[in-house]
Order: sequence, then structure tokens, then C-alpha cells
Amino acid sequence: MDTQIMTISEQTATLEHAHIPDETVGDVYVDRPRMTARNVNVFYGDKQAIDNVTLDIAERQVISFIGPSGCGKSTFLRCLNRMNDTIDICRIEGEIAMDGKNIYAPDVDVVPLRARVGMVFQKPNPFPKSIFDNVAYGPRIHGIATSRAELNDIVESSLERAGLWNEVKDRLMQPGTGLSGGQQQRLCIARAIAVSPEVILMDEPCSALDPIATAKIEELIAELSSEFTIVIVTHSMQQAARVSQRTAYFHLGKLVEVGDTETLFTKPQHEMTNNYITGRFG
Amino acid sequence: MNQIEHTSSAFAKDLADLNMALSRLGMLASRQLNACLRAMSDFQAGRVDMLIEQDIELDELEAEVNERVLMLITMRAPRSDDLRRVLATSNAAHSLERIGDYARNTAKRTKAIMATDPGDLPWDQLIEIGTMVASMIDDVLVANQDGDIETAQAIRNSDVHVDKLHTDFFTAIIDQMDNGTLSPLIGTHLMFIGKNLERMGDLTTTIAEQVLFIETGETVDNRRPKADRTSFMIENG
Amino acid sequence: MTDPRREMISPAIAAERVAAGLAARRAREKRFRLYGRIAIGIALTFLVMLFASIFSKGIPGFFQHYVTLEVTLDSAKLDPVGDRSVQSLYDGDARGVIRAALYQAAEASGRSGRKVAGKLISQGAEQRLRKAVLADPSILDTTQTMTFALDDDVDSFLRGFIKRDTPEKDRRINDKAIGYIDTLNEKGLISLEFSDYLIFGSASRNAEMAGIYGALIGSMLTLAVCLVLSFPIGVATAVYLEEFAPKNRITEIIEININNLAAVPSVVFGILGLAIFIGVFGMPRSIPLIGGVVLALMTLPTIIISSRAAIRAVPPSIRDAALGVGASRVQTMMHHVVPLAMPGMLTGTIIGMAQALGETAPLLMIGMVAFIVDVPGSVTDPGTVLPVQIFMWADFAERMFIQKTSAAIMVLLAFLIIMNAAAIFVRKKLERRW
Repeated sequence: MDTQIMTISEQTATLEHAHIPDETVGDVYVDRPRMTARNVNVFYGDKQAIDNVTLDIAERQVISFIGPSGCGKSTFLRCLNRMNDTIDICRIEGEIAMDGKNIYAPDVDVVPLRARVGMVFQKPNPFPKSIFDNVAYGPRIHGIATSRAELNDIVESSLERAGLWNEVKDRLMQPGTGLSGGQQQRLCIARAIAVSPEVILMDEPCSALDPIATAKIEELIAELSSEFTIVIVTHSMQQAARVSQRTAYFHLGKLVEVGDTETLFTKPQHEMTNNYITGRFG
Repeated sequence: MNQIEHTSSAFAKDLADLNMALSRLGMLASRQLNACLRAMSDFQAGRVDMLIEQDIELDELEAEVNERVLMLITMRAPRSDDLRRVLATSNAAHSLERIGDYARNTAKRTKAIMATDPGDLPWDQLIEIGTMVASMIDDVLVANQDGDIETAQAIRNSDVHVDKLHTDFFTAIIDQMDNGTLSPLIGTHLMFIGKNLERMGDLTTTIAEQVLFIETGETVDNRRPKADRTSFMIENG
Repeated sequence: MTDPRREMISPAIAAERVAAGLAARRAREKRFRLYGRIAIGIALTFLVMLFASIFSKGIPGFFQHYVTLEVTLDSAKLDPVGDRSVQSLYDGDARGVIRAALYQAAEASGRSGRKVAGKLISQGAEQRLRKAVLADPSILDTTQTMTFALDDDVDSFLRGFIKRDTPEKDRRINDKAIGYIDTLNEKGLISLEFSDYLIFGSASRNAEMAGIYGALIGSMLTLAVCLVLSFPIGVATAVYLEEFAPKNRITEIIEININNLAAVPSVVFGILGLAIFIGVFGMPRSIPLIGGVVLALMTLPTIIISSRAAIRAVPPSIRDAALGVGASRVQTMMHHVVPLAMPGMLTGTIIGMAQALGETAPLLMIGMVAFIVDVPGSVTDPGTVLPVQIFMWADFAERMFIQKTSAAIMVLLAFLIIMNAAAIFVRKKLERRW
């Protein structure tokens, strides 16, 4: 047979189901997890999006989810704060627990859960309200601030932690949508922080931003990780390497490998992980 | 060695070109050494002069390899085994260039010896050492291409033989200088040549260790078998 | 290595073919644009014809002829009891006082002459005099210059619809009357003024006194009831259907039925109102409350459909953001989605109200057609609405009614245009960029 150059799709098709391990390679468990996932399966109707994933999320650490498009990393992220509830055909099996309690138990109210597990989205989505009202909205509806003064404090400290206070302190009443892309995303981070969450989920937070705004947010994530547990989905391996201490590699709904970021990017244990990070397919 | 092609064909080409440059450098270094050994058995001043001049090519090739390495890192952001290969290639190029330098130095000294007193000298011993090193160099270049861990390990282990031969040669020269069969000047030249060959063997072993690093990701420990006792020699009586 | 891909058409050949087909394509486009312009032209022509006919008939309806008289306000005649009370004035002879002034001005003498002259002036004149005296009793026992409306036949004559050359027996105005009119005219006492009766007068069988005031108030009350009912219910229904309704068969059926209701002829809602509210509940006919309820039923589908579209237009990123920070579904809807959807909802509502303003058939069914003289004071007083008033006037033959009908149509159109403009203004003002 004469040698032919295989197209990307042909390569991928040949390799797709080739070597996905049955069990995740690497250290799935940690000593003091903030959240735990055990045998999680997610279905969109008949289509399976997440296949038997077990993973611990360590406290006050940044873990990044990497993997090719459609591998399920965003789906799994959204399971952690039950955002998938908004999709009717989405069905979840298995257990995701926080402090030992399954968040999918029938008596669990998602409203306080989402105050403990906050989320920042791919495209910055501030409310069409003033900067102050954007950050104050969460504390208001949850009744976290007991007085106007306390609310002002929360807004100021959230904006400070998000690295935005100095830039907006003179124009808190102006609309949040008037800020630049990078500032808007930091505003969304401030909004998430304002309800004092324990975990912050970030779904490709920098993919819509320019490199400088991206660098600022990555710096911010590093600072925040001393206070919050952060889970970040990213398409950029550089970002995962820069920002996280642990990395989980997903492929076609399965968790292939998870481990220490440094090790995973220099000496991954599984062949598929190595192929992905060196750009050999996917 | 990963058989799967890179998705980016430009990346794959850059890596292939880098490997090609290293191979050329390796072949040149090997050729220089072989020319040295031939000069020891069949000295021709013209060929030796050519050898000395051609050393420049090795320097240029090493510069080319380093430049390709820089470009690859800047443009392609290699990771994992790709990154190890790129760094190891830079290292190996340096070692090969040093081998070339030693070959040039050996040629100069051989020319000097031949000009002074081409008498009955232990060239055979030197040729034996040099031939062993030459085959090690050829083997390590192939091992690098193929990612052959076993061969690399074997080369690493065989350096012990080179050291032993060198120790014997060293002892013999010292004896000959002691009992006056050899003038100090010639003896010193010969000793330096022997040392050069032994260093070439060490450098080849370093390249073999790089191959191991590429394939396994582990930095091999420095406790390889060493048998060079010349540094420990003391005056006997 | 063989390249297995097929040959692409070379750029040179492709460019040739593009150039070759270009002329035909351009011609097609030109023709299409021409058809478009022709269509617009036809539509505009009809529109211009419509407006021209309405304006030409309607503008005269805003004016009518008045006569200016010197009236001696004899208190003995006007206020027999002497206490300036309404009753006393009513018992007084305002008509006589006016007629005295008229006979003098028209130089009418003799019994038959005065009889003819008396008919020249509108019956509403005495009401006007009474109102003036009540407002300012100090004018009693003085001589005032006052203006009174002329009878509609006189008005028609003055406009030239009743011609002198027509034989007398075929005319509504006899020669004697014409003589008096000419006298008054020579004295310059007759003038064409803006009709204050049209807007502020109520329904009347006398054309010169007829006005749309009662119908306007009736329309406003009816619309108010319609708005108060249809807006909250419509918005709430839209919110429920978009956000909270489970996606099952029942919800589907509800949605299909709402969409179909938007296409139901409006008269059917009138029949519904008649049967249920008036028949079963026994509520009185012809009150704005019932009219408003019927119109609300009719407008609800429009509001629901446009509100749902407005809600759907709110990007899901806003919902995600609110849910992500821990807002409940109700909070997400009420704090974020509905305010952002409000411009669209308001636009739909205003357009629905504009439609309701012009509805006649369902209101006829529930009886808002009876001859109502009094202006309705509340939603439970009998009243009529502007389109029905126009419909009723269209029945009358008098020339002045024809003009006033067109004038009333213009008023109705003006309101519709204002409401639609308000819809556009609201939409532009509240439009937010997210």
C-alpha cells in the first residue's frame, strides 16, 4: 500500500477509541478534598457525555481540566454547581459531594449551593446594571449583607480581590457593560466572589480576551487560589501549565489522566495524554 | 519513539530538519575521528591539514543546530518528549563539536610527532582505543535516531573498556618515558592524544545518556562505571 | 505520493464564468427592485387616495357656522324664581331671550316669519345660554355679545350643499329662511368657526350639536379596563409558558390554542361576552367594564405572543449569570429577564391597545350601540366607543353628519398614529445593548 497522508479526521477516527484506559491514570484522590465526584455519568438524552468519572477536587488549589473539544470537560464542570439542571434532557448519575453530602440529593436546594460554588463563564456576562449593582446583586438576594455599610464593604473588597477596585472606584454607578472585555470578566469574577463562595468554577474564562487581559486574570487566579478552591476549564495548555497545580485530562467523556501539573506536562503517564499535549492529535 | 505524526506539519518538518542537522554533525565528527586514526597508520600531511581546516564545518553545524533549537522553542512551544529531544539535541551537538575539537587537536599533535621522530611508537594501542570510540560514536548516532534505549545503555556501559585501554596506554607511556625509550616531548604528545581519545569516549557516553533522557524522561545518575585510574596515579618508589 | 483530491476549477475559468453570468444576474436584480418599487407605488397610491378622501371630507367637519347676536339677558325671563338656581334657569325662557335677539338681527317679523327664523338657530343654543348664566350670574340684566351654532340645514346651505336654484318644495330651507340668512350675512353676523361641539359635544340627533366627547371618554375607559386586565395577565402567562411550564403535551396544547386565538375573528369575542357576562352573569350591557373585558380577551393572545418573543430574545448568558450567582428561577426572571424583555412587551402591548381602540364588532355585540347621551362617569356607566360612534353616525343622512363622521375618523386615526408612535418611541428609548 502506498503511503498516504492521513487527513486529521482520518487520524482522529483511527485513534479515537484506540487506547482510552478503563481506569483513570494518576492520583484521582487527595487527602482533604473540597468536593468529590464518584462514578459520575452524564447523558444528553441518549448521548453519553461523561463516562464513569471519579475525581477529587482538592481544597484551596487550582485544578485545570484539559482535553479536545467535546471531551466533556465543560459538561463535568457544570455538574459541580448543578448548572446542567437548566438543560431538560440532561441526566446525571453518580454522586458529587461537598462536605460529605451529595449535591444531587433530592432535598438539596440549588440556590444556596450556587452561592457556595460560584461560576465565571467564557464570555463575560455582566448584568446590564451599574458596576456596584452587579457585585451587590448576589449578597442582596442571599441576604448576606445586614446593612448598607456592610454591602459597600463587600462590594469594595470583592472588586479589590478581583483587581478592579482602583480602575472603577470612581465610577461605581456606571453600567458594567461599559467596561472593556478584560475588565468585564474581572467584574464577573468580583460578582462571583461577593457571595463568599468556597469553590469557583471557571469555564474558559480567558478565551474571549486579549493576551494582556488574559495575563492579568491568570495572575488574579494565582492570588485567589490561596482563599478559594478553583476549577478551571481551558483550551490552552500553556494556561493550564501556568495557572494550576493539578491537571485532569479528559477525552470523549472519560477522565484519562489526572496528576500534578508539572509532571503531567513533562512526563505524562499515559500515551494519550502525551499525544494530546504534544499536539499529535485532537 | 513516538510513531504518530504531529498534527502540525510545520512542527514535524522542523523536528525532522533538526534531526538531520544533528546527524550531519555526527557524521562529520565521526569522519574527523576516522581521518585521525588513518593518519596514525598512514600519515599524509596534506590530508591532515585538510582535517584541521574542516573543523570549521563542525563549528558551523553546531551553530546551525543551536539556531534551529531556538526557533523550535520559540515557534512551536514543544512539550514533554518533544521538548526533551530538542534540549538533548542541543546538548549532543555540543558534545559532537567537542569531539571534533579533540580530533583536530589529535591531528595537530600527530603531525608534530611525525615531523619530529616517526620511529617505533605505540600507534596500535591508540588506534585500538580510537576504533572503539569511533564505533561508539556511530552506534550512538543510530540509537539517537531510533530511540534505542538498549543500545544507548550498552554504549554507556562500554565506556569502561575505553577507560581501561587508556589506563594501560598511560602506564605504558610513563614507563617508556621513565626508562628513556621515549622523549618527554613525544611522550607528552602521545599522552595528550590518548587523553583526547578517552575524552571523546566520555563525550559519546554523554550523548548516550541524552538518548536515555529523551526516551525515559529520567536524568541518569552519574554513577556510571568508571575505570579510568590515571587521575589517581602516584609516584612509585 | 498521489494527491487523491479532485481538481478545483481554475480561478481564470471561474472568473470567466462569473463574468459571463453577471449581466443576467444584474438584470434580474434590477427587475426585482423595479417590482418592489411598483408594489410600494401602488400601496402608496391607495394610501394617498384614502387619506385624501378622509381629509377632504373630514377637515370641514371640524368647522361649523355660528351666528353672533346681541342678547339682552332679562333676568325676569331667564331666572323667574330669582335665586339663580339651575331649576329656575331651566324653568326660565332662555329660548325666548335668544329668539328675541335673533328676530331683531334677522329683521324677522310676523308670526310665520318668526317661526321660520326661530328654526335657523340650533336647539343647543338655549343650553349654552343657561350654562353661561350659571357660570357667571353677573351678566344677568346686561346685554352680551354671544355666539350660537346655526341649525345644520342652514350650515349645509351656507356651504352650498343646499342650492338656491333647487325648486323650493324640494329644498329643506324655504325662501323666507334664505332671505333671513342673507340679511344676517350682510350684517356680517355669520362666521365659520372651529367647532367646539365636535370634540366636546356628546352624541345628539342634531347634527350641529353632535360630538364625540362621550365616545372618547367611553373609549378611554374601555381601553383602561382592557389594559389593566390584559397586560399583567399576558405578561404573567408569557413568563410562565417560557420559563416554568413543563415541556409536556398539555403545555403544547395550551400554546397551540393561544396562537390560534390570535386569529379568531373579533366578533366571536363579542358573542362570548354576550353569552357569558351578560347572559350567565347577568351584568349590564353596554358598559365599558364588559367592553374592556371582551377587548382584553381579544388582545391577550397578541400580548402573550409578543411577550414570549421578547423573553426569548434575552440572551441566555444573562440567565446563566443570574443562576450562577445563586438566584432562583423566579428571581432570574423578575430581576433580569423581564426588565430586559420589557421594551418588547410594551411595544406589543401598545400595538395591541391600538388594535383594541379600533375594534367595533365585538362591542356592537355586547350592546355598546344604544343611543347614549350622557358621558360615562365610571366603568359601570353605559357608554359607547369612538368606532361605534362613527358607525352610528354613518347611518344618518344629514350632510353635516357625513362631515363630522369623517372628522371623527381623523380623530381616531390620529390616536392610532400617536399610539403606534409611542410604541416605537418606547422601544427605542428602552432598548438596551447587552
